[in-house]
Amino acid sequence: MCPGIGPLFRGPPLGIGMLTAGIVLGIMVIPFISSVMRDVFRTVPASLKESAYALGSTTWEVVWQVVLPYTRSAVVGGIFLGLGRALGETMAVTFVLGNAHQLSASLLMPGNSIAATIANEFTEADSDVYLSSLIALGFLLFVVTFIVLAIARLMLRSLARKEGR
Amino acid sequence: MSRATGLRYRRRRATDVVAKVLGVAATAFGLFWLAWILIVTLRNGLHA
Repeated sequence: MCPGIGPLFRGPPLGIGMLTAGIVLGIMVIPFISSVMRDVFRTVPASLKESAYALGSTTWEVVWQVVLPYTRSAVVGGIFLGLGRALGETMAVTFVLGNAHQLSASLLMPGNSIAATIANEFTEADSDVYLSSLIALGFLLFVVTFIVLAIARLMLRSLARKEGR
Repeated sequence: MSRATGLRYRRRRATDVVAKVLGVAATAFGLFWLAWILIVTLRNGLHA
């Protein structure tokens, strides 16, 4: 067993677990992020790109040295928007996460997410404490999402300051 | 063209080709999965 990453992959690969949910979420947010990126890249003035090509730049150099620096803050913002969507994703995660109320170090083990717990148990909440607990979980999810988006906003602000805007 | 200039040009060109190949490969990979998902969805939907 590999000492560094061994505990992350301990246990039988059942196909249902945190790794599967992560892969599914990662694939799910790609179209959202790529559509945002497409719109962002279209905002780059053609004169900038054509100037770089006229100076002899290759396509990769135009992308890396002209397009990406021009759109850096929007690219980071788009990625964090995708992350925000992944954080709130419910049903796809519920189907593949395993819905086990335990925190395991292994990514192959089933787990649970806040949104999946609320979706699974809201109709079963037969007491006031149970219902209040689920609503508190919803509030916790709101706080986590708020913190992530606030960090994204701060990162964008620092990037804009670095660019001198 | 001096030797150093030629070497730099070849390196830039190689980087460009690698980036383009990776970009096309990523696009093909994504389109393959998209097509597969659509085909399976349509097939299962039509069979139902």
